[in-house]
Amino acid sequence: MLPALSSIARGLRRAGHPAVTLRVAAFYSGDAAATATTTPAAAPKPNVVPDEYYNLEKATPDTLNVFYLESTDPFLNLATEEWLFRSLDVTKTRVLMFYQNRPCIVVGRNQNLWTELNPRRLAHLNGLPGREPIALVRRRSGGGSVFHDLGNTNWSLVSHRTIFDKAETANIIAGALNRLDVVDGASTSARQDVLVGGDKVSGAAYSIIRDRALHHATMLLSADLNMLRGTLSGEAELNITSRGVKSVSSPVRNLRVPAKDQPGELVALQAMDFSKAVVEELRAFFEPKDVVFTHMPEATMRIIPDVIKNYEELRSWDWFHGQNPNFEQAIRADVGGWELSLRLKSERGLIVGIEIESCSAPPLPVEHPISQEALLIRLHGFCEALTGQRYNEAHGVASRHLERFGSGADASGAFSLGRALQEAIVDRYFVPIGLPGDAP
Amino acid sequence: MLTAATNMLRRSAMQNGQIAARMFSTSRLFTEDHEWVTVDKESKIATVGITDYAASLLGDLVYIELPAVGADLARQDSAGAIESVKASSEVYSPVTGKIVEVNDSLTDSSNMALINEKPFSDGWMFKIQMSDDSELAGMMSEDKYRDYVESTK
Repeated sequence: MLPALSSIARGLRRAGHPAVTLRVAAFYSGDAAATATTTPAAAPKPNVVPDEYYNLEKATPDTLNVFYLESTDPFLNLATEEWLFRSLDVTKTRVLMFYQNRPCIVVGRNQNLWTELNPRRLAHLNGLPGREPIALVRRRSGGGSVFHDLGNTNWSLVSHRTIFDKAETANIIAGALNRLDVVDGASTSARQDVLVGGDKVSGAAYSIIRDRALHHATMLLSADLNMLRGTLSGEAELNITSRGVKSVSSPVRNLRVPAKDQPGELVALQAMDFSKAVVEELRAFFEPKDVVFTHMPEATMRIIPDVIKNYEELRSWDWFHGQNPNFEQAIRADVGGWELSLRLKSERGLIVGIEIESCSAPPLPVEHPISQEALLIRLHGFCEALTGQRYNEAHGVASRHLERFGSGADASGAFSLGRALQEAIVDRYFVPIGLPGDAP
Repeated sequence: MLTAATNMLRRSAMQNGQIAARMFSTSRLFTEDHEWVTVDKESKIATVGITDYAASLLGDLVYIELPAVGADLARQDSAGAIESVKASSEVYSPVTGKIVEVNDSLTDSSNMALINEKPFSDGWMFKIQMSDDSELAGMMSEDKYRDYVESTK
């Protein structure tokens, strides 16, 4: 058995679940027999690193393992990618993966959802008839936000940390595009972006764990580029100052290639043609002894215990919202003639405090329908109700709190105060974002 | 004369947390995740950071996430993240225990370079109250760690 496949089998044995293990193991051994030079199954080798492997001039890796993930569920594909990334023995192999996702926006591990996305615009788009909702995903790797749909394909290369070379991999991808004669030719930038005619066609990110590195990226084939516009930039009027990684926006384009059967015609690059060219380029560059192709059906991905675990984690509040970088929101509002200034602090997805910075009268004397004292009392209650709550649920929590304002002795005054706070603060500053996978 | 010199040394030791810590701590231990640990013998509080080797591979940092003070972590639990340009790297807790202090100064972007410049002193990341001393037994000495790094090159 090849090192990569034996290490998968080892991982599955460790994970238990005999029934599941058997079915998956049967899938792998069948595939290995069909595509690879078969050797008798041996006991898994200890993880010993051959010194010569790290010097590519002297030695080449044994095998290039190519996986096609046959799902369009972004969470399942990322969960499977992570499982392969973590479990394969990368001392003897390089692992290449390809997958395509249904419409989704994927943010970097350390990005603030409210400053990098435009949830109101997304909600508007998702409400349009006949449009497939766009899912939101937080990935494990760093970098900025990207939009995926079936007009985009994703590639991913896993290698040992010590041979991980962003620039080299970007050059290989550009080389693969030039093999396909893409219009205007591909090159790489100083930021290791793959460019065609000055436009970005691929957005890359990296993840490093222990002894290994993952380099994955999008590749624009026939993606709906209009979707990128207006959804991947935050709303400045939310007044959020955040830690975290900011996206760098670039002009983008889809890849065009000469049509095979119609000379002079240009067509969109196909995902399978792209993947074949990448394999050829990698084969030429690393000269692996063997290339093993594995098509992984969605049904198989869904029963692998580690994939299930990764999948559930990616879809959890703790990951998607709990990893949102800490931020502050400066809230300015005019309520009943009073100028209010509040400062909200969020940590790990929760509201940890709201401070009333000032509540002052405007320069010109006006008749206040609400006394400053009554306003401050109500406002303290409002801030208390929000503290400790999930920031993404602030709109709902605050609205429910304000709905109860009408029930006191000063019912009519409190009611109008509640309405004023709803409009000036809640509806303006709190934009809900649901759980990952929900349409915003 | 001698007393004055001793006092001066003592003062400088007090000003330099690293020297002061060394007097009462175990020697530095290392993990395969390229993290280091020193443990205060009396309080059993472990101080954790990443090694110079790990920092040099990551390059310039753009984001550091530290664990929450009070968090209970098992050995190998995620204790935060470090991101250099587009590359995210997980930070693991090398021991089981409760987070008692984090190096908040690192989260200021102007101080992130401390991880690269002084990974073994000012670039420390968090302190954790250990609940099981025996977890230190599996860690490497500095010499062994250097051999380990060489062996993976």
